[in-house]
Amino acid sequence: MSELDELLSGALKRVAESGDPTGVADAIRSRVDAGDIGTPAQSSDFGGGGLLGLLPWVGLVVVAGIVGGALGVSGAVGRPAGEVVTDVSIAIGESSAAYACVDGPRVGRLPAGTRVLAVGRSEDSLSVGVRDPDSFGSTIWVALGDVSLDGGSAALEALPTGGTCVETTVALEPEPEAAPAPTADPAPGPTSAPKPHSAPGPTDGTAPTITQYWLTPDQYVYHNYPADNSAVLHALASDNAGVTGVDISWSGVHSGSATMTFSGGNWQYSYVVPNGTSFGNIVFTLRARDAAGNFSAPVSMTVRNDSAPD
Amino acid sequence: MCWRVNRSRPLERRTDVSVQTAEGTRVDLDLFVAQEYGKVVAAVGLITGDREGAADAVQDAIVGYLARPPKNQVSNLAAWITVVASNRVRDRYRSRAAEERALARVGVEPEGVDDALGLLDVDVLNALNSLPLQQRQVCTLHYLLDQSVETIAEGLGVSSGTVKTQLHRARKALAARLRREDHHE
Repeated sequence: MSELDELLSGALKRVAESGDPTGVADAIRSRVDAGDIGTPAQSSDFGGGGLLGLLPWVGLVVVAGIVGGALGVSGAVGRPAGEVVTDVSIAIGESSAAYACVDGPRVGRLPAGTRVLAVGRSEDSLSVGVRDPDSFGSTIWVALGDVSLDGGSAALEALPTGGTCVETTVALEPEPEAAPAPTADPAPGPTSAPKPHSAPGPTDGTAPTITQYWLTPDQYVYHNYPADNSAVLHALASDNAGVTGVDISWSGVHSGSATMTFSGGNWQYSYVVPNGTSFGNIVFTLRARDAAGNFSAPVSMTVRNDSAPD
Repeated sequence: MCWRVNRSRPLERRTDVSVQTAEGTRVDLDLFVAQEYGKVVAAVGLITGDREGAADAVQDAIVGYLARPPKNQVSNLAAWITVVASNRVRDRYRSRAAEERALARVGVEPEGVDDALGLLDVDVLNALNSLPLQQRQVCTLHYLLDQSVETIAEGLGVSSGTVKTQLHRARKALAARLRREDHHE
């Protein structure tokens, strides 16, 4: 055990206040007798398409880095505007920060070599739902071809059918209109491949939501102090059609703006205080956006640019 | 309601009394309460910063487990109850700001801390409170309840790698925070 481990273990044990068990067991029995259901576990407590710990877990390794183009960004998915695409139904859904599905949009990323636990499979067995390594409450759906199952196909069959790939209409940016072909030319020219169904989809009026945001290591950065002059801002966001980006801007003793990048299951931006910045607060404002141009309500975090510690 | 309480044994032998849940899992309620309840309440209090609400949340979670148990056996009930109870406390605080206000109310500022509590302990507590919820849960299970990475992973239904990752990130953040506090002194 390292010095840090000993420090943490000792301090937490000194600080913690134990509960008094006197009469607790009887009180619990009385409540259950009376039909009280207490606090049943929720699927979001641990993720996985059902209550926690209920599924036969299968380990798998991401073979190729699953790097998603943002849902709906022109070219990233490569589909015409409004096309009905195969999307994915996420078991836990709203809090998932990343997902992918066979022939469907891919949002977010799982680096190659990531070892995760599979918690379910799609009805067509082409996708597996895996526990988000950064969020116990989220399931990420990935194409089966992108992962290597520990137990092979037999292990896959042991997984419950926890989610299905469903037909979902997502609003994509329209492609540039092609120049009209000359109508007077009777000669049969080369024909382009027929486009799949391209009926316009319904307008997405649902704004994304930033569900969680935090700073690491904490709210301070130290001016001109090489080891501590940066902070990383993190955010989790959700949207019915997928979050395409999170914009960040800041003001105060230093101002600017940038776009957060998706890494490790959350949106991140590493901020470094420039030399010469005055001491004081820097207020960061985050807003998530989707492909339809909807923006989430802004959330703010404050970093204090302080003097370098002695 | 399918559960039943074995009342045939004398009170002085309560540690042998067990409850059969709706799914047939036998839980030695008295033994769990005697051996684990105090520590689990302590863990939930540390994770949430709501020490007063921790006991209620833990009892609610135990009642929920008995009344509507999960279909599969829970191998690490202490971790299970800790996470469910702390998540429910978290749910009561609808925003991080509200949670931070609750953390402030429990007296983690140096001037509000019991004299018997060293400043270093206060620093550790403050550093823990700065972590995201899941890192706080894993840290508390590991350092307070002395659960191994494998035991935590088994209890939470996640891979050991996931727990290791969360623990690694937490240790890194805690070390940076504590180093900074040390520099301030």
